[in-house]
Order: sequence, then C-alpha cells, then structure tokens
Amino acid sequence: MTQRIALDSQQHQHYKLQEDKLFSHTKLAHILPLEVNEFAAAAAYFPIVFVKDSNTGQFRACVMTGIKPGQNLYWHQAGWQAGYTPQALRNYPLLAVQPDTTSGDYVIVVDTQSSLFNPQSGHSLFAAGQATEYLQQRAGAAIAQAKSVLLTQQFIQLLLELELLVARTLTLTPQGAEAYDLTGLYLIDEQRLAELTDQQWLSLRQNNSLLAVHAVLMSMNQVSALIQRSVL
Amino acid sequence: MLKSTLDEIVIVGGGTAGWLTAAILAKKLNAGKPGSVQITVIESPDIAILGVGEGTWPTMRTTLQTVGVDEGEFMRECDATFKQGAEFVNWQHTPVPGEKHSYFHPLSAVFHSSYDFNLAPYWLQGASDLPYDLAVASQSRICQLGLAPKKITTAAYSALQNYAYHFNALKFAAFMKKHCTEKLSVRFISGNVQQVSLHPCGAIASVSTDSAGEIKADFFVDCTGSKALLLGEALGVPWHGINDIIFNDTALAMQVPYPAPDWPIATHTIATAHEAGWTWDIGLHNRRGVGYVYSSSHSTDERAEQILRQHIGVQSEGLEARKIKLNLGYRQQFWRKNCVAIGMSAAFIEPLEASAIFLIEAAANMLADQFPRSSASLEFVEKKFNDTFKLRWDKSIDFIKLHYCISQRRDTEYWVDNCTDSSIPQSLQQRLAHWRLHPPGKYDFDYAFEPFVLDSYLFVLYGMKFNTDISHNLSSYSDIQSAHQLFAEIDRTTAILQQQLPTHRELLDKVYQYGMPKL
Repeated sequence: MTQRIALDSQQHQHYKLQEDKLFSHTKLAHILPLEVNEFAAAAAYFPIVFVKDSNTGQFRACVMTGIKPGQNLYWHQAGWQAGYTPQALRNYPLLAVQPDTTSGDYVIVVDTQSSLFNPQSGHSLFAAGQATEYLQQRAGAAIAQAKSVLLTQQFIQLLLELELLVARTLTLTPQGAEAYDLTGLYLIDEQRLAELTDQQWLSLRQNNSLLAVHAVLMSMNQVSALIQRSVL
Repeated sequence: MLKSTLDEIVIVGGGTAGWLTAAILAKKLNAGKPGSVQITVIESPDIAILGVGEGTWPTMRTTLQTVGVDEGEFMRECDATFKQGAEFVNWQHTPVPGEKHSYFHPLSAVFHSSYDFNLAPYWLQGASDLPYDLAVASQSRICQLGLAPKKITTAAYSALQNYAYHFNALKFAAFMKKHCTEKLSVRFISGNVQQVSLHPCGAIASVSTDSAGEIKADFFVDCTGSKALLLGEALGVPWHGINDIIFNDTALAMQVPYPAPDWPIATHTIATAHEAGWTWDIGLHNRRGVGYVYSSSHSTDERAEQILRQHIGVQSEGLEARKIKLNLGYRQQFWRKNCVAIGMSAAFIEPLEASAIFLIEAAANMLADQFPRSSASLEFVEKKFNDTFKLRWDKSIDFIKLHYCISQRRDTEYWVDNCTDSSIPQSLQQRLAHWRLHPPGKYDFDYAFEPFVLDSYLFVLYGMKFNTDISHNLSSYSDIQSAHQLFAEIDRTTAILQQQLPTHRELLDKVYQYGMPKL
C-alpha cells in the first residue's frame, strides 16, 4: 500500500532520495502505467493495453510486463530488460498532483513506504530551506508526467466516444500448464477503426491521436514476444 | 377532423410522467429527424410537481440507457442511490412491543430464477434452515450487509446484482427536461392550459394556454396528474376507484437528514407496517425520504403524524410533515380517441412496490412502439392499449393486496378489514386457494406483460409465512439433491459477492466523483 505525503522543506529538510536503476518496486507488477506521449517509444518493447483503475473505474493506459498477476518479465537483477523505461518508473517515488485544479499549481508528493526516500543516503532534497537543484530537476520530471496524464485521459475519452475500445480476454496456455484467462484488458478494435466515418477519422487527426492509435495497434506484436519471454 | 397522419404530439404536464414519456417517444420515434413526429411538452410554471415517487424498478436502467442518459451524471444530479429491493418489517404478525420481524423482496434471485428450478417446494419441505428470502437469494443478504450491487469498475448500467434507483423526483424531472430539450429535440412551452377544444368527432383539436396561445396537435398525452385535464375533464372518462380493496388514501411525508455525512445508506426501501398503514424509508445520497401512508377511515391525521414521528424518533423533531391526498384507482379507459393518459392521470395504486414509475415507462414504451402514425390505426391501437393496461393495473392491485391480505395481524380494524374476503379481488382469492395446496409455478404468470412475476410472489408469500401444504404431493418434489446443490451455490455466491462488493455509500461516493465506465 502506498502512502503519499507532500514534500515539505521543514519536515523533510534532512531527507534524501536514492536512485534505483533496477526499479525494484515493480518486481511483482504485471502492468505498469504509461502515458500517451510514450506510446511510440514503448510500442517496440511492450504490449500497450487499457485497464480500469480498481479504485476509480476510470480507464488508464498501461504496458503489460507479465502474463499473470505478480509477474514482471522485464525486471532482472542485472538491469531493466527493455530499451524503454516508462516515465512513472523513473520518477518513482515522486508524483506531482494538483490539489486545486483551478489554480493549476502542482504539489510534489512522495511514497513514504519507499526505502528510496530516507534520511541516510542519496541526493539531498533541501538546502537552507530551499529545494536543491536535484529536487528541482526531479520535480520538473514529475510535473511533466502529471501533464501527460491529462493528455492520456483526453486520448482515452476520445477512444471511448468513438467506441474504439473493446474488452478482450487473453487466453494463455503456458507450456506444461493449464490454460488460463487474463481478463480486464481493453484494446483498440481494428475493425471498428476501419469503420470510422471520415469525420470521426478527422477528429482523431485533429487531436493528434493518429500516432498513438497506431502505436497501440503495433504494440500488439509484443504479446507473442512477452509469451516467449515467459517460457525462457 | 383528424389529419390522415399524426405528426405532432403534445404532452400536457411535465413531472416524472411528462418528461419520461417525452424522452421515450422522442428517442424511439427519432424526433428531430426529417419526416419524424414533432414532440412538445407544455409544462405549467405554477403547478408544483407532486414528486413523492422516489423508487423505481430495474427497467429504469434500460429506459435511461436507451434514451442516452449518462448513468453517473444522472445519479449525481438526482441524489440517486442504488435500490436492490424492499424489506417488509412487521407485516407478518402483530409485533409485540420492542420486537421486529421482517423479510426481503430482492430485485434479483441472482442466477437462481425459480422459472428453471423452483426451490419453493424444497424450502417448504425444510431443505434449508434459513428463512425463504435468505435461502433463495444472495441479494437479501447483500441488502442486510448494506453492500452495493456492483463495483466502480463495473460498466454503466451493468450489474453484479440486479438494481433500480431511489432518487429525488423533483431533480429527476428537471434532469430529464434538460436531456429532452438539449439532446432529444423535444420542444418545451411554459404555460398553463386553460381550455381544451374538441373536433366534432370528439377527438382533441387543440389546447389554449395563457402564455403561448392555442396549440394544435394531432395527438395528446395527458400527464397532468390526478387532475387529468384532458382525458378526465375534457373527454369525460370516469375514474374507477379501488378503495374497497386498498385503503391507504393519505400520505404524510418528511425529509430526514442523516445524522453524519458518512452515515450508512440503506440499499433497499424499508416498508414498516403500522396500525393503519405503513411507512416508507428511502435512503437518498444526502437525506432520507420517510413517509406514512395510511387509511383515513382507520386513522385521524393527528394520530398518523404521531405514528410517523414515533417511527422516525428524535430526528423528526423540528421537521415538517407534508400531507398528500391519494386517489387510488384507474381511469375506465387510458386511451380515448387521440389522447392517452400516462402517470397519475391514468392510475395510481399506492407507493408500495413502486409500481407508479414502472407503469409510466411501460405505457410510454407501448405508445412509442405502437404509435399510430396513420390516424386510421387509432381505434385498433386504442383498444389494445386499454385492454393491456387494464390487465396490468388489475394484476398490480392483486399483488399489492397480497401484502396485506395474508397477514396474521389483527391488532386493529385496519388489518381485520384488509384480511376480510370481501376486500380481496376474486382473481387473487382463487389463486390463494390454489396456492394453499400447490406452490406457485410459472404457469400462474403466463401473460407476456405480467407486472409482477413468479419470484416476486414467492418472496411475499413465503416471506409472510404463507402455508402451502404439499404433504399430499411430496412425490412430485423428490430432487432434493439438486435443491441442496442450489442452496449451497447461493451460499458460495454470497460469500464471493461479500468479498468483492464495496459498501453502498463507498460506491456512491466514487460514482459521484468519477462517474461510471462506459464499458
């Protein structure tokens, strides 16, 4: 369970942030969040799918990193096994949130359960009551991610309006084991995409969404790569 | 003379009946498209909507989905909550002071529809230790636990447990009005109808309003409530009273706040029997709607208010009770010439089992599906409509009466009178006589548009401990093993649901915040 609190120059003046190039907090995650501006880069390595957030029922975009819950086939003690690392992993344990959407200000929160955030070792966060250059750079990345989350939500809204998302069950048959269903995954339906009217197609272009739609479709090739990886 | 094609429909009266009818007609008849009918609603700016009907049936889900309403938005705008059934408290026998007994009538028997395998005869033989309502339906237990019928990830209008809504009827009418005028090309006129003009043939030609002059149309829908301006006053169709069967002709209603913002919200209507009627208790998101509906021949208004305040307790202090006179019965015809009445202008039984809004939906759907675009078809459709709705109202009256007439309560004249044979319709008496020796089966409900079907009757009959003696016919019910398997499956389903479902309030708070996923 993650517990997030806002970073505070007084309360956290002696705290430090370590970096973990292995992204060990994702060791047991079979899906990881991805934002729309990352689709093209991620599509060459992972299947991009849509799932419902169990807490809000809202759709979000994810990469599949395993073919069953509790499995991350890209995590390895020798290092991350893909040529792309989603920004949410790089920014962890920091996150930017907008407590008041009207003001537009962001607050940087931290997952206090993470050992990367500690008073002992790592990069200092504050000096003389001010954010260090390191923190400013990390905070900037977190804010960039928060902004791309909004773009992703708009993209998903458009997919829903155009009725392009469909529920798909992946039936997987690992070698020497019984077949099982991976449910709760939503994909872009190629058939429906082909049936869009010219006007609907135009709305995808005007929203700069064509690349993202195609990246998702291309990423489906990675499903077999993922299954391959699971039997190695 | 009527035109040969009926192209303009005027609905007189807004409210739940007017706007719901407008939405269903507009959607199904493609209003706003070239060549389709034009639909206009005339709503009085002065007449208040009665707005006590706060409970619906699961059919409302299909209705709202069909007319293109966003479920999450509707719930948020109308303070709506999920209704999974009703709990009937103290109906079965006279309660000793301090005691409470009850049974549930849930909206779904989950996967255990009695149509395929009727568990009742096995329950009668003692194949389960639980009361009937808990033995045959997971949903009764889900209601007891205050759990929601679905999860936040469940798509809009889909359900893990069948559900309907409780909502604020005033807000619902306003919400539907907005939806009709903004999205369904329904024309809206604010005005009071002052006069109705007829063609020589007796059909309605036009209505005159104070603000918009004379408005002609080819077809009229009377949604003017119990006044029935068109069908009753102008066309003179008489009212058929039913107060010899159902006695509750008066209601006292109160809006009761929750003691705290995170107070649990009941996911079913609580109907508690009293000395001369019963109280409803409906949990909306921001308050409860509580009211006492009673027989004015069996209770004074003062005594009724005392009962209501006692029932609510200290929370009723300082709250005002609103009195509503109810006219129980139905029009001898619902449709005459080019006019049909929908809502309280057509019929009203009493709030028990929330049949009012359901029958609005049913009437509007049939009107839309059968709409006689050619005036030559009017007469034929009129007859069909009148026949089917007479049957539906009679059957609804039978079912409502069932709740009273098999009670063991005899504490007041009200209950004695309710259980007297002369107050029970013949059709119901005959069936009850049969059910004393045979459990009800699907052949007892063979009409296609039966408003209350087998499962509903079973829940009420055996919730009320109705005695069906099957000792002479045990040989017909020997598949005890299948019965045990089904009872065990219901237990398992309940356990799984109990693990997965959030509390009712938890889900509502999320729906209000995030809406519901489209798929």
